[in-house]
Amino acid sequence: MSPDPNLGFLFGVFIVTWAGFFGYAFIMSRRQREMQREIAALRTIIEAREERE
Amino acid sequence: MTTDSAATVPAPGQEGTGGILRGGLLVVAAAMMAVTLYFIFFWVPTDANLGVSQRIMYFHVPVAMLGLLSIVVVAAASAMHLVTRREEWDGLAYSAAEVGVLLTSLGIVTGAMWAKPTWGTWWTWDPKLTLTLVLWFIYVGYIMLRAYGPKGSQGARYGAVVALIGAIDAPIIYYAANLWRSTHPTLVVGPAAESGAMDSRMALALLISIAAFVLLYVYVLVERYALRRSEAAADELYRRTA
Repeated sequence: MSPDPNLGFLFGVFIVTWAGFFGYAFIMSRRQREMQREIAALRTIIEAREERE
Repeated sequence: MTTDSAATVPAPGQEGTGGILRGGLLVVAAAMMAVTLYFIFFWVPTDANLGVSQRIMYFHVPVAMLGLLSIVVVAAASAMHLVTRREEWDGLAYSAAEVGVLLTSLGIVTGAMWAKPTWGTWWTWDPKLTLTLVLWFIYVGYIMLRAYGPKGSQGARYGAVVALIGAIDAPIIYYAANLWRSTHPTLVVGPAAESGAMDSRMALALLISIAAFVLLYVYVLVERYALRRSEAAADELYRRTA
């Protein structure tokens, strides 16, 4: 029995959906890490300035 | 954002209960999704007319439905922002708009991948498809307005107006297949769906798939909202250092 010729479309949808969700989640997670680093660095700068003052 | 935003964002590695809850939500969503995949690929019967391409519906319907619901979330959060002037509501509206773009894009792409083997074309200017494309432009317009338009509370207000007007598109898309002579299949979920139109096993698989995607949607939305708070906190700290 030959496979359904439209099987490729089903797997295509599967891949597109997961790539969309995981790609977005990955970008968000990376950005969140960057933001946390930035926030920590800015807090250090502010604290150092407040100590000087 | 208020000056409180910088103080309320936890330091790296100290995310506490919120981080644990988000992690838990992801685990539940992933487990639910594994069950869904089993149902879609191994359990549900193959449609006699459409063959395996009908199984695309278990991906397409949830993402398209959530893309549609997301504009309602954007509009509701925007309305709350206009009433209360609280930045949290605006943050939720922006986050839901960004997730809405993702879902509407996925809805359009997966719909095209269903249309090709079924209708013989990737795209047709069917009312439902065209209105969904309009929704996609509304989302993109909202995000562009927030990115390049006025900043602060004025930008949030302009965005809220776009979201409230844009949300009018949602019920029209939902009922489009019933309102006009459409090639798009009739409704299978929601208040206007025909009861008994689907095989009971197909209906159950679709229901499970919708539940899994809803959990995934909530997870992504919560994560985006947390990121939005971090961005606002960083902006606030930059202002203080300037």
